[in-house]
Amino acid sequence: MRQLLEGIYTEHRQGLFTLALSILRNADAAEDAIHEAIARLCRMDHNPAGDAAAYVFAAVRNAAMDQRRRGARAAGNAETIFENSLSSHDAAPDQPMEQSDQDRLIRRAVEELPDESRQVVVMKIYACLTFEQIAQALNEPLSTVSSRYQRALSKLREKLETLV
Amino acid sequence: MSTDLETLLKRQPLRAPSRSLDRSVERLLAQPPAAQTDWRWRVFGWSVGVAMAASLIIAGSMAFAPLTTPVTSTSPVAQRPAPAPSQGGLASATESDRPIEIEEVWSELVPGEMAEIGGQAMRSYELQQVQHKRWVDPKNNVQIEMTVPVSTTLLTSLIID
Repeated sequence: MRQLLEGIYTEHRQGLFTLALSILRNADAAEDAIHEAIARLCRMDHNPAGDAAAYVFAAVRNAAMDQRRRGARAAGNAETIFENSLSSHDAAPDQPMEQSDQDRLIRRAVEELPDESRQVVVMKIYACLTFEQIAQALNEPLSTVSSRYQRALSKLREKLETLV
Repeated sequence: MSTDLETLLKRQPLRAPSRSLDRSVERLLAQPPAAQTDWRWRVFGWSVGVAMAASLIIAGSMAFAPLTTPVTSTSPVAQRPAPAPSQGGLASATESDRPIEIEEVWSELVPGEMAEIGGQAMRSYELQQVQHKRWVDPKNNVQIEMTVPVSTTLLTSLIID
């Protein structure tokens, strides 16, 4: 189990962190949730049934949801999953102003998605999981996950219609 | 269309986890399984151990008062069946004429050493008692006293995580 966990963590650390951060909106709390989930998994004496990576994502998601229920680190300033929020000053001198505006729009659109849709988008786009893995991680039917993802993309497209 | 949107989304750089998370996960993965007991269980284990020791001490001190305050019980000695009153009967013995038994017990619970017995952590307690019994028969002016020192060793298991 340890070796398996080590491999999954190495491959998916960014995805796991982004998922936890998208739920908790606080980087420290997100790291705590990952630590807690890995600690729980380390105590298992057998390998999980099904896809191991999906199992780890499920464990991290559960830990993050638990933390959120407990109200850990009540968010004063909700943190974003993206690196450094953009501002008009962030644009590189040679980068057209439009680019940072576009990025800002995209980021805001993702952050404004409903919780469940955002989690599916994060797992699909940023953690590169398959729909089967996401369905297992969320313990929901494949069709539900797939249609939720499509609805999330539709919403994003509506908000970003000038870009795509 | 979807692909364009997905490409746009993927292009956004994500906030990265800190190195301290990697280090803490590395430590978790390197720890032996026994050391990974949830801290809540460790606290629970200690609490149970402390509660058991405390309840033993309280029970001991309630049953046997400390040496400075002996427990005294006074009871009339069991009476032999009273003889059938004779005709024109005389007055029977009064309550104050009955022989009485007075018992005093001093005790102290002394915590001893911790030891490992059969792989189980144990703590010994020595219960030291002095029992003093006195029988008094005021009618016949007879008094009998008996003093018995008793030492008992008690063992209690400790839960150590």
